[in-house]
Amino acid sequence: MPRTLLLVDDDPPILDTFSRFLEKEGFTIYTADSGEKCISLLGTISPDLILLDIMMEPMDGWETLLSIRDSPKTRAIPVMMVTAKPPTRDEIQNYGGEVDDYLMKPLDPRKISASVREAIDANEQMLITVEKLRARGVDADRVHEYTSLLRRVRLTQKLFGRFRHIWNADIHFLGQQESRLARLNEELGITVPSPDGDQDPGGKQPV
Amino acid sequence: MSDASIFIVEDELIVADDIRLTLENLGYTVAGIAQTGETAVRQVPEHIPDLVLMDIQLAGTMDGIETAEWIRTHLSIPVIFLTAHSDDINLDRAKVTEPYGYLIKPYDERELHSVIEMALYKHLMEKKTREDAWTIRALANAIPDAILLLDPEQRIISLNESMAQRLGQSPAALTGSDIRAHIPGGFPAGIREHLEEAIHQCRTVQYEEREGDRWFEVVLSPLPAPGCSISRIMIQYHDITDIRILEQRIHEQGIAQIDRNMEQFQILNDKIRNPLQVIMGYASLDSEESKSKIVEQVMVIDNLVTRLDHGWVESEKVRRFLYRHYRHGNAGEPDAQTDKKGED
Repeated sequence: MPRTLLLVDDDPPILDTFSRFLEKEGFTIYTADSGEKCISLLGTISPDLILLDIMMEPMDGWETLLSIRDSPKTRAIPVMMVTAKPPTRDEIQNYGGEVDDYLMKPLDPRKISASVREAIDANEQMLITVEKLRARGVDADRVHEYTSLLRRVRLTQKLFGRFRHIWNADIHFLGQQESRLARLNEELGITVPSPDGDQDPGGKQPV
Repeated sequence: MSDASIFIVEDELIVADDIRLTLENLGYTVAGIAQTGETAVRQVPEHIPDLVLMDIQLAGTMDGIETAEWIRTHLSIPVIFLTAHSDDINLDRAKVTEPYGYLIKPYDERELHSVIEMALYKHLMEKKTREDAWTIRALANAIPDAILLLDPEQRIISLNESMAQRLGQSPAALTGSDIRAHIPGGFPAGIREHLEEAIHQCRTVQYEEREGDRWFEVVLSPLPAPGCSISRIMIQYHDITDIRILEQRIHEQGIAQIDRNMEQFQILNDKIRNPLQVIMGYASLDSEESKSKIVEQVMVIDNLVTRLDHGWVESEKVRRFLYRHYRHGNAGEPDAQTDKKGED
C-alpha cells in the first residue's frame, strides 16, 4: 500500500517540485497552499505524514501544528517541519514536543524521501509504546510527557550540531532533556533501542 | 588714588583748614567740611566722597563715633578717626563702627597720606570681595543644579537656593548643620558611603541616582584637589531626567528599527531559500521545462539579493546613529527572553 503524504506550503513551485519528485519515489501526494486548507483537507484524508512549511500567512506552521495535535482524529499523524528559517531555542522549547522532524531548505529531494520514511517508522514505534502504556493504565498526561520529551530529544540531537551557535552553545539544554527522558523511560519501564538502532535484545523489562 | 575726594568733619575751623591744605597738597580733592555730626549727616550723602576724615570730639549732639556709625550703616564710605591722646577712652566705642584707620594727633603729612591710601585700598578690596561673593551667589542661584559646600567634618558651609528647596529649610537655618542629619530626607542613604569615599580617598565621586520618577547625577568633589588637604567638599545634584528620557527614546527607536530590519532579513532568508529549493527540485527532475524554471528562479534570487543590499545600507545608517548617540553599554538584548523561559 503506497504511503500518503500531505504537503503544506504557500509557494506553488515548492509544492510542484516536491510532489513530482515524491510521486516518482512512490508516494501518494496531497497538497495544501495554506494552514487553513491543510486543516480542512484533514477532515477528509488521513495521510501517513504531513510536511509543513512554517512561514505562512495568516495561519503559520506552528499554529497549524497545534491544531493538528488538538484534534483526536489527526493527533497521531507524524509532522515534519520544512522551512528556510533556522529554529530558535524558544520554538524548540514550545513546539519541539509535537514535531517529528525539522528539515531546512534547500535540501536534496532524495533526502526528503529518506527522512519521510524514517519519521513514519519512528512514529509507528512510538505509537506502539504509547498503546502499551495506555493498556497498562498510565494516565494521558504521563503519556504526553513521554511523547513530547522523546520527540524533543530526537529533534535537538539532530539539530544541535547545526544550530548550537543560535542556541548560545547551551549544551545543558540537550543534556537536561536526555537525562529527563532516561529517568522517565526507567520510571515507565520503557525499553530503549541501543545506539546502533537494534532493539535491546535482553530488554530490561519489556513493556 | 591721589585724586580721591575726601570729606572732613572737624569742629575746630583752623585745624580743618590745615587738614584741607595738607590734603590738597597731597593731590586729593576736598569734597567739603562739616563742623558738627548733624551737618555731616546732611552733607556727606550729597557729596558721596571716597573717604571721610572724622574728629571723634565734636560739638553738637552727635559725636564723631555716632556720625561714623551713621555713615557706615547708610553709605558704605570708609571713615578714618582723628583722635587726641585724651580720647583713648573712646577707642573701644570707635572700634564697633569698623573704622578704616586712626590718626593720633599730632600727625604729619606722611602719616596722613599712608593712612588714607591704606583705607582707600582696603575699602576697594572689600568692595571687590563683596561683589565677587554676590556674583558667585547669584550664579549659584541661577543654575538649576542643587549645590552645597561642606567642611571636612561634613558640616554645611554654604548652599544655593535650589539645594535649600531640596532640604526644605532656609539657607540660614541649614548653615552649620551636619549633612548626616539630612539623611534620609534631603539625601538618599547612599550618599553617606560616597561622601566617605570622596573624603578619605580624596577624589571626585560621581554617580547616578533615582528619586521617585527623577534621575540625578550626583558629583562629590573635594576642594582643593591637589595635595589633598581638603578644605571643602562640594555636592552637586544635576537633574538628568530629560537626558535619560531622550536616551531611552533613541534607544527604543533604534531597537525597534533593528527589530524591523531583522524581521525583513528573516523573510528574505525564507524567500531566498525557497527558490533555491525549487532550483534543486527542478534540477533533479532534469527536463526542458525544468531548465527554464531554473532560470526563472535564479532571477527571483537575484532580485531578493538586491533588496538585501538595500536593507544592509539602511541598517548601517541606524547603526551609525546608535553608535553616535548611545554608546555606553546596556545596548539592549532583544533576544534575552530566550533564556528566561524555564523548562516546560
